[in-house]
Amino acid sequence: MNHDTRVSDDEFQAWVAPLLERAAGYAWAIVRNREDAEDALQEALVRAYRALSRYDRSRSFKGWLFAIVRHCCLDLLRRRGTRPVFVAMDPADLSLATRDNSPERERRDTLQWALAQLSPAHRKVIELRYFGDCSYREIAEALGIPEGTVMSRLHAARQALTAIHRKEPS
Amino acid sequence: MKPIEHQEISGLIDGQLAPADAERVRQAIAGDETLRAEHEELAALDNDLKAIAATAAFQPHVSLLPSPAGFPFSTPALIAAVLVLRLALKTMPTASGCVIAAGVLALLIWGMVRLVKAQEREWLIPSHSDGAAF
Repeated sequence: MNHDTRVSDDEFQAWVAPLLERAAGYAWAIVRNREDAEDALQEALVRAYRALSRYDRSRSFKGWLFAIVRHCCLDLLRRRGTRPVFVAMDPADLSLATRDNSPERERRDTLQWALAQLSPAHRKVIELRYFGDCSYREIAEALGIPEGTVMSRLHAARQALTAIHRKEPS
Repeated sequence: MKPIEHQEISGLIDGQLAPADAERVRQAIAGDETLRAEHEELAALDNDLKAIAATAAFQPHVSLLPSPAGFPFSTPALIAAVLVLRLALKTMPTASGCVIAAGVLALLIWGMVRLVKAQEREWLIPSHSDGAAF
């Protein structure tokens, strides 16, 4: 850990601000509700700010922050007595004004169903990669696994998604 | 040429391979129909997942930093209290002067407590639910 250089408020703000939208989307992917996602994200920011002295500058800040976001989301679900389940998306939550029946839209709806069938380990990497828009390094930091494992796990998750997608219920 | 591992197709799609490895995987895909089909399928999946994730992202209403909180007039109030205390002890060395001094002293202690609390910054949190965590 690096205790030499303290992170200033300005630095913290500059690091966090560009990550907010994706962090919110990532939190939403776990808690499946915008208000809960905001609450979990706010708690994560408080925890991150208070734990800044423990942040090691040689590590990815985004990976570090998203690990905290994940913990806060799981804590929130635990307090509510809810399990972290990837359920089908609520169109209202996604601000979708209209529902179209295009093949593309249907394929994505089916894909959301397929996401719900993934194992927790696969879902974690998918959530960080897509909802968090994280690089392999950031995913590795957030989950505490090697980058090589991130690549193999993501590949396995995609293969699992494709397989589930193929045998989707009509 | 070193054979590719299937997971490297994912690495290529994610743009996470070193340039030399990316080129090697690209060449392998170009020369193998099975690999090409796998790459196309995973690339399409990648696009769909990106589209779903993009719709989920939103600008949250959160506070990035703690804001200073507490009694905003702590310092002037303390200075005034000290002055009044000194004046009371000087000009009224009687029972009434002691009462005033005691009152001012209590005010001084209260002001100092508020001042210490003001140093502890608080988060202005827009909570949607219970907010019990804070």
